[in-house]
Amino acid sequence: MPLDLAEIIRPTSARPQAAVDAEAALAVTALIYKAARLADDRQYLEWMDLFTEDGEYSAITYENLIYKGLRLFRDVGRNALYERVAFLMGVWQVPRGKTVHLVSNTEVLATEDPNAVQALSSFIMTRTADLEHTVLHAAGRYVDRLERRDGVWRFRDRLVIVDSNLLPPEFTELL
Amino acid sequence: MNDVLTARKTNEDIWSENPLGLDGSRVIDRRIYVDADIFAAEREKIFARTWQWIAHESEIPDFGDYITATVGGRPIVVSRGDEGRITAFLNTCTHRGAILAAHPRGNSRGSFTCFYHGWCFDTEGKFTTAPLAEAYGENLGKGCYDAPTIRHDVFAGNVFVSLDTNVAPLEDFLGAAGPLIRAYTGRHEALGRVRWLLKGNWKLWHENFRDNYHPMFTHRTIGANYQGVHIEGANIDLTGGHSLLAFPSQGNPEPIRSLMRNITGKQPDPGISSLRPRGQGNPDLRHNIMAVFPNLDFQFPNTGEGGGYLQHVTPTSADTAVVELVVFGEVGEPPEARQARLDRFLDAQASSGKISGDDTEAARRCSVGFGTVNEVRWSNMDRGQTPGREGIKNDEYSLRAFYDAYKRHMGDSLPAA
Repeated sequence: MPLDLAEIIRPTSARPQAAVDAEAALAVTALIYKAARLADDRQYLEWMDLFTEDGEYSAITYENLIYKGLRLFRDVGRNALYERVAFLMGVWQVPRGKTVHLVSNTEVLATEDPNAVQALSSFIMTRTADLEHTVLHAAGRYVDRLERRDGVWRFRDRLVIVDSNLLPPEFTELL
Repeated sequence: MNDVLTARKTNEDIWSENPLGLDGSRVIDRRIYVDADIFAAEREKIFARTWQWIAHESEIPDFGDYITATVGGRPIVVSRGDEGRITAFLNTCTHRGAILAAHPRGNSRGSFTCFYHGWCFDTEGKFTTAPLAEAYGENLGKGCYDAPTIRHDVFAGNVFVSLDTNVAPLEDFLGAAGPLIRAYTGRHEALGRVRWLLKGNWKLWHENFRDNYHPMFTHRTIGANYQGVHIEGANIDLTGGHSLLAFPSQGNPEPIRSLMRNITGKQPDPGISSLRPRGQGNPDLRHNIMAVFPNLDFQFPNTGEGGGYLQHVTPTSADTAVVELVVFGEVGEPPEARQARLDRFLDAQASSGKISGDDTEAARRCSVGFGTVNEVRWSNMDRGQTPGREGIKNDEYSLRAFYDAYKRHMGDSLPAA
């Protein structure tokens, strides 16, 4: 699917007048926070399990989002997520840094489907490499679609919009 | 042809006195990666005197479109004006110096207006008006206030510039690389750029593209892929400092499966992308990695079919650089193919990529290692003993091609051993 900038910035598929029930909003927000913690704790396999079997995870710079939609990567489905996890766990020889993801300003939006919501969050991420002081590594927005299946909320789709158009050298961390 | 390009005979090579017992054309003096004076000389003798890739025409399709860049430390603008004409000029207001175009890409709407005092320049950099000009009396007419234009040429859609008014014609400069570039980008359009910081000297990145010895060690999936495989392919000096690596798709997904299983403790599914069978399809298809002196690389299929990418590296100091990658797709390709390219083409590339992430790390580790330059002065570049300009894939004819041209351009600016 081509990226729809207007839809990403101001989701129209969400029902603006519909309220998300408090329980769903709480569960979804907790899921988004859990994804941040698992990434920071390098529990990558557990992070992968927060996605539906057909879930996808992708990233794009803001510059390319508003140009022609060239993504940094797009992992669709469990196999692609597994491959990313394998790279994070040691296929890449780039050393893992210690990361902190701070996620805030989360806005949970209802959709026509009571078992699906959209969520927009801002994030900043720091990285601490061996023998280096902590640096601001990335900042941007998560654009999430989440689904409740068998009573459990999972990510159906996470798009990470990276604000910077100049990436740092060690940009292989989970965003 | 530039004087400095007159050949220095091999036996007069400035690096011939080395402790490795090798011809000077087969070693590298590591001071070139760290020395600030050498870096300053590179800016003037290489970056200011060669053709530098700036943009693809498809990135500036409309009147007023522009792209900015830095060449040899100078900010420049490439702009499209009346009747589709492209002009390159120095990005500075001739009044007090502020840059005229402040963004990597934009549209001037026909006038570059300096934000500082409002002086205006047209799409070709020509000075047009200054606010409240009566205060200058007749004096504004006494001098030229146009932003200086610089030489540019377009080849297969690629806009190159040179700060040297006496530089050889672009097509001559490209030499044997020219027809390949025509195949790669002649019927293509740019789909976007991504850029990242390199913690290392600019040459480390460019060398990496000419070096096909490292992939099986630096990139674990490539190492696994080649297990038990007789690696085919060629490493070719195209002369003029340009070079080509050409090789078929080969490999074996099973060792990659084992690698991932050992790392994750989980059984990978055969469907994952790194495990796709290699060596299928068109037997004549070759991956081409072509390096154009001094800082430009192309990775395309030999036919140009589908698409590919180019990268150019811009030094920012002796030990830092910015790498910029531009992705191309064929004009008019099917929407599904275009979308797949937009979605997944960068998966292996950039500092976030499954391959280039480790290449970026290699530059950092070399850069740290060069802290020993006073004790360990020399690097080996000796792979491939067959006389001539062509060897097997993981030989180093391509690297030697670069340094042959590098030394000719740098001339006396390189310190003796």
